[in-house]
Amino acid sequence: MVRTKSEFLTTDLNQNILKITTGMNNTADLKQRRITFSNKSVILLYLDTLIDKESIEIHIISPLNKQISDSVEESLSTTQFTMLTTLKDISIALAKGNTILLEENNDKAYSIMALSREKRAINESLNEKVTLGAHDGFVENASSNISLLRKRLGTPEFTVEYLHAGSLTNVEIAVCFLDSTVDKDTLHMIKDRLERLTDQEVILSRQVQEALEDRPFSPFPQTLRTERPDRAAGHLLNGSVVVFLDHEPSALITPVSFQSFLRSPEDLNSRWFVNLFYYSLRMLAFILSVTLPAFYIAVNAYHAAILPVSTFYTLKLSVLNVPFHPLMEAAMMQVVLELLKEASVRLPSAVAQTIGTVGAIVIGSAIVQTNFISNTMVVVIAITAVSSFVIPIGEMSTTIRLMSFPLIFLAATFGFIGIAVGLMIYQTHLVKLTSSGRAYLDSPKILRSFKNNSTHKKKGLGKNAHE
Amino acid sequence: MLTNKNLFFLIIQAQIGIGILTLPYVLYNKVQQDAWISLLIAGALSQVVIVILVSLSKVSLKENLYELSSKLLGRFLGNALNICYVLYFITYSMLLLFLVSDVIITWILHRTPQWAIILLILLAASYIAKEHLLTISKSFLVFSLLFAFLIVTIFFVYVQDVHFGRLLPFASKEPLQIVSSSPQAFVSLIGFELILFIMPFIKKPAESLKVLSIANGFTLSLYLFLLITCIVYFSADQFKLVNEPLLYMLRGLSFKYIERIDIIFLSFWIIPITTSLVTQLFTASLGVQNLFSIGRSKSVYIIVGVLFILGMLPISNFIKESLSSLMTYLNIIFIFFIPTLLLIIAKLKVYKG
Repeated sequence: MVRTKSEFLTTDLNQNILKITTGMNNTADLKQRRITFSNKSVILLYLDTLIDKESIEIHIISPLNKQISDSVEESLSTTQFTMLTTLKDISIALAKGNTILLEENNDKAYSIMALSREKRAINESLNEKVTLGAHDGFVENASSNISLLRKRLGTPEFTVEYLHAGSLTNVEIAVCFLDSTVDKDTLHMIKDRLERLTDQEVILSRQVQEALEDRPFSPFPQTLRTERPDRAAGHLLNGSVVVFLDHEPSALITPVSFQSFLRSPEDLNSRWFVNLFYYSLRMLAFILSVTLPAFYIAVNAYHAAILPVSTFYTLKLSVLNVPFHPLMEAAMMQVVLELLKEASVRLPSAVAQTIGTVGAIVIGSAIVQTNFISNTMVVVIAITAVSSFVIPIGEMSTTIRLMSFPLIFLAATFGFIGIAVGLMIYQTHLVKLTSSGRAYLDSPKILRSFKNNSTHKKKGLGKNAHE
Repeated sequence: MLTNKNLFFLIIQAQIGIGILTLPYVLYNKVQQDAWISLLIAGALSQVVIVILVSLSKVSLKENLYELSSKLLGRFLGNALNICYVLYFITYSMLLLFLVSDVIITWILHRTPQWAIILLILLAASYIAKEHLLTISKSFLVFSLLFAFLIVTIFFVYVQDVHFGRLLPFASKEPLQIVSSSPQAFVSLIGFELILFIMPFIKKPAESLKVLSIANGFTLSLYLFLLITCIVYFSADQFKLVNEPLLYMLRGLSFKYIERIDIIFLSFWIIPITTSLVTQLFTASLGVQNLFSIGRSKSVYIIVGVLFILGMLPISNFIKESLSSLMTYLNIIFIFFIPTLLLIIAKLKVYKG
């Protein structure tokens, strides 16, 4: 960009103020404050809505009033400030919450940080609760989130790099990694992908996620969005990169494997057999929530012959008076379930309990009594739903629940063969996926993952236990 | 780049497929209790073929057979041969699709139209075949878990009444008869011809012979196990009636909580059958890519389209049967004779040059 002369500050104070206020479109929350410093007029300019008035009082006005030295710079020496000369830089600094100090007969401006520190306290994350382990969660501020990680990883190898995205949003993206564990090529690729974001107006994590993912159209999330610092720290130790977007209370972890979506930080904090049990339980939950409704429909509609006589009669009695095809039954029940879930999420928690009652009593038992849906189908869909809620990461939980729909259709048209073909396609898709160039489901290493976790435990969480 | 493990699973999945269902029936009705000797001879024969195929593909490690053939035979003859290979793979896939859909219609989906089953299998196969070879081999690895399930299930047969005496008398048939029925067994062992087309993707070409031999050994022992189980399970009279002995054997199994293992088994056996189809599609698409210089995934779609149109045609059982017997000879020509010929030409060229 070519800078014309008029864009620089002049030595005329009033003209400077006029230029800056017009540059800021005469916005009403731009306030000025005039003070006298060693017989010269000094003007403070700031956006009333962004800055912390107390900090201006303490860090700018009172040192100037004390007049420790003749120059403004030395009087301000306690707080951090930068020198600006162009009007463009000044308006950007103002918009970001800095205070601008203009002096008479001086063509330089001082920009002083005095951002109001209004932010949410660090609370437990609502979406990833644990019973054992730390109860802190990320907040809507990238630097507090980074400090949560830094406290866990007190090493100079912990590196942070900042990027800014969007000319209007001008939001900060922080890339954190451990220099010794991260793969340099992966890191380079991730930074390259984030560079591409700089022209976009970024507001949501999803935008960053989309830029980071190898296949954004896949139903499976290839970056792990977590609200827990211990999970992020664990992944950093294993060589992943953590990306924060300012004003979003979550970290994006990449590269990740499919298995890490089935793990909770609580597992690693437990005894090995508890760990193994819960991991296996979640594996089972994953398999059940994808295949159970499809299996039930296939058995009911095509392969009732595989059941022994007694079970066969139980099944057939329960579907005897139901007028619908099992596929219709399953689709109806799934839709009802999703409606209930969605309603309870949107409502305030006190009212959400009512939805639970409505779901359990009114829909659950009444729908069976009216013979719209069979007893067994209600049980099957309920197990499917509960299984999918067991998955610790919400994104993956929803994906998995929705992945059962194509299988339901295949099972209703081809029976077990449809399920086999569907699972084959799912399997190939999972094997095909990569997360930042690393295999998403590296099938041969499934067994080795337990070994990895034990070293991980020694490095990270286990060490604290011995101290 | 394929590691040895990847190569192993590619080969066994290419080998094991629909052949397993009918092999015991075909062999037993030719040479009765000596069927397993025929199978062993076929295994030895396939080992010889593997040696030939590997040494042919080692002539030039950076080229697959389609590129190699034009180099050895000249442009015109080479392309003609390549077209023949592509047609062979398409015919083979077609036959495979007919056989599998027939079995499914007979056993499970009695009223589903044949084209629907063919379409379903083709969709799945094309989704896998258009991927990179490494992805294909990784999925094949996971699918191989099915073999473990099969083997465990078959052990339950031994709890029921089996008569090991049915294996006797040992080698009572004419040696010539035993040898002459081994080509039937050889047909169900093929799949290792894949090596001709994937040599450029292999990380350690020097070890490929070893890996292929182990893979062949695995397939052979699985087949032997199944064949011997069938022989000791069925009487000679029963064997004349059961077209798919393996399925009938599983049908006889009964557990407290589950019946009709045959339905479950056949439904999921679709997966190894599809993987054989995937390897055929892969090799055929490499050929189409080579002949018409179009992308490989596009060539997979073209071949799948052709196969689907062929699958819609009303083809009588007579044509299927004659195609099936023709295929036995085609297999031997395309997998044994032509590679041997090419190897001789290659060696002569090296000798001359």
